[in-house]
Amino acid sequence: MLRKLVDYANISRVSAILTHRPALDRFTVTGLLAIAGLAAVYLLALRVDAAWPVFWVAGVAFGAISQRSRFCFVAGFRDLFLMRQGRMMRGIIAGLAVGSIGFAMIMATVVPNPGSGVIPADAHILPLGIATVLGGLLFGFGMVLSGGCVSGSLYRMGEGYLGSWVAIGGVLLGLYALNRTWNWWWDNQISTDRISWLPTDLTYTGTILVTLALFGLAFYAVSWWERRGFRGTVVTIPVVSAAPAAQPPGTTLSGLARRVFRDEWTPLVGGIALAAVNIVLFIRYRPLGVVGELSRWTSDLSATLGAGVGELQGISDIPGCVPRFVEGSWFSDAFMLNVGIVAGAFTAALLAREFRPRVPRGPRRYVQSLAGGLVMGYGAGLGLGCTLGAFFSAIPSLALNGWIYAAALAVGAAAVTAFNRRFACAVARRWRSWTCGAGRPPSRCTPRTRRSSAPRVAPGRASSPTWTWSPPTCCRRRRSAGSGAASSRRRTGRGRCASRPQGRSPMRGREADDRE
Amino acid sequence: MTASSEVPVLDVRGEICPYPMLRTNRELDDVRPGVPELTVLTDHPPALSTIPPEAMKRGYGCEISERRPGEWEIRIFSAAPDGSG
Repeated sequence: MLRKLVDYANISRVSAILTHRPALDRFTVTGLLAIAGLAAVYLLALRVDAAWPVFWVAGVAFGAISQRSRFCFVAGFRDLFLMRQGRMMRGIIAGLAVGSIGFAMIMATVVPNPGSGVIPADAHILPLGIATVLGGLLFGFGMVLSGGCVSGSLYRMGEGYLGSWVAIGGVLLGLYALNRTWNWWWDNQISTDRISWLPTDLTYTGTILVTLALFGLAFYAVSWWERRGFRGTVVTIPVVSAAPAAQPPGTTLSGLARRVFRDEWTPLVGGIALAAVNIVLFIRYRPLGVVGELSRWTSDLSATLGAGVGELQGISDIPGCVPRFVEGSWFSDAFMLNVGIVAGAFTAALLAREFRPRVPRGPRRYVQSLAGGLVMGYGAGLGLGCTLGAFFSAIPSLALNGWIYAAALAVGAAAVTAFNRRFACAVARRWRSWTCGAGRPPSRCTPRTRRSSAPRVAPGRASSPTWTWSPPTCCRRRRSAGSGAASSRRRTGRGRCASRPQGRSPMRGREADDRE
Repeated sequence: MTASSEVPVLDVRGEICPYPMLRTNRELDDVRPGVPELTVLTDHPPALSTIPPEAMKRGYGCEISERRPGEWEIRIFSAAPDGSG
């Protein structure tokens, strides 16, 4: 049994900080002011253009839903490889499934006969070729490096992450670099790339059936992958938020309001809600996508600064996330979407009392954010979209390019594992846990002097004859703290480890040594 | 094994995913192997749903309390041999 009760003695000082919070504190007040601001912009937008308020609402909804559910495409891909946590990926898959059904219904009204060769104009059915694959690889690589994809960084900007502002700066630079090379890509690759829209060959019914089957398979595969590497006892997460104790009486919200505005939504809810936003926006105009507008910003900005990239060929021929220039204006419907994402996340974070300026630690994180953003920006421009435009809107568009881009994203995200040593060691640890420490460790985990100041604690290694190689600290196999004390936490023996007859790996022996 | 009276604190404020989780894992695995209790300070909300599963894979329990708006304290505690678990 895990302890599920809040340790009241331990949080007493926490409540000491919180108890004097008045019912209408600064977060609630600024949150309500932010809502008023959102409404004001909506009313202003109504007077300008019919599309603007729709994009504004979609952006605000996207930002708020992402903030509440902590929806993160990066986490979806990365945690799958890094920690075998498939929670976020399942949310993404659920969102894609809902989006696919909705998009198919919309597209079926626009193009009733998909076999005729006509394709819905606004759907994200994009040229498929090397650019798609390379764009996905670069994007997957960059997003894991910077810690957020483009849409993710946008909403985190609203939550107060300084690193995300830096990352978006990097994205703008990357898009500028892409725009400078765009005409080459267009002439040599993209102009000759063909589009592949699945309903052309499979009809709507066939495509939907195949797509949903693939989602089901992916959903199951994620769960399988998650369980397979985990040899502990699966327990329900005994996370106790300090809700009843640390919340002063005046601020306790009613059940529903609390669940909406304070508690975290599950990624499943988030993914489905985001898909709903996507469907609504597509019904009115076009699917979600943020990169095209960022690309327009760089183009307009560089032109203003006298370093313009000139005419970008062919962008009026392709749908999706390419810059859409508006004559003589800095603002457009897509501008409302992007800014709406930041504003929606800001408001939601305020209401959740989660907003605070978050300054990265040390220069290394800034470099990571900027470099990741740069790579990601170039990839997003090349792949004609980010995780939103070329993945979350493209797969529901029933286009093959969405699937190819997704595969490239996954490979790119996994490639960071080879780039970043810490990731590499986490993977190595996983690898060793699959093989139960029986074999040699992967070559990249051979001993190496760590620059870290962390002491290398390895008691008992010498007394473990079957474990003669000397792993660096980050590569050491993870421990199981409950080996002796709690029988409820005994390893259940999933995977290959179950077949070890004595049930005692070299590491278990070392653990025993540690305890003495 | 005697539990120290001071609960070690790992401050990962300012770090974003996946570093709060990786640093917690490193703390549990390498820096303080077998530590009976650890307090992690974070201001990154996604870490609240990534650190507990990782700690639990290592046989720890977790509880989260809010220190102040946008800042949380994750208490990670191992199975207490004295039976209070």
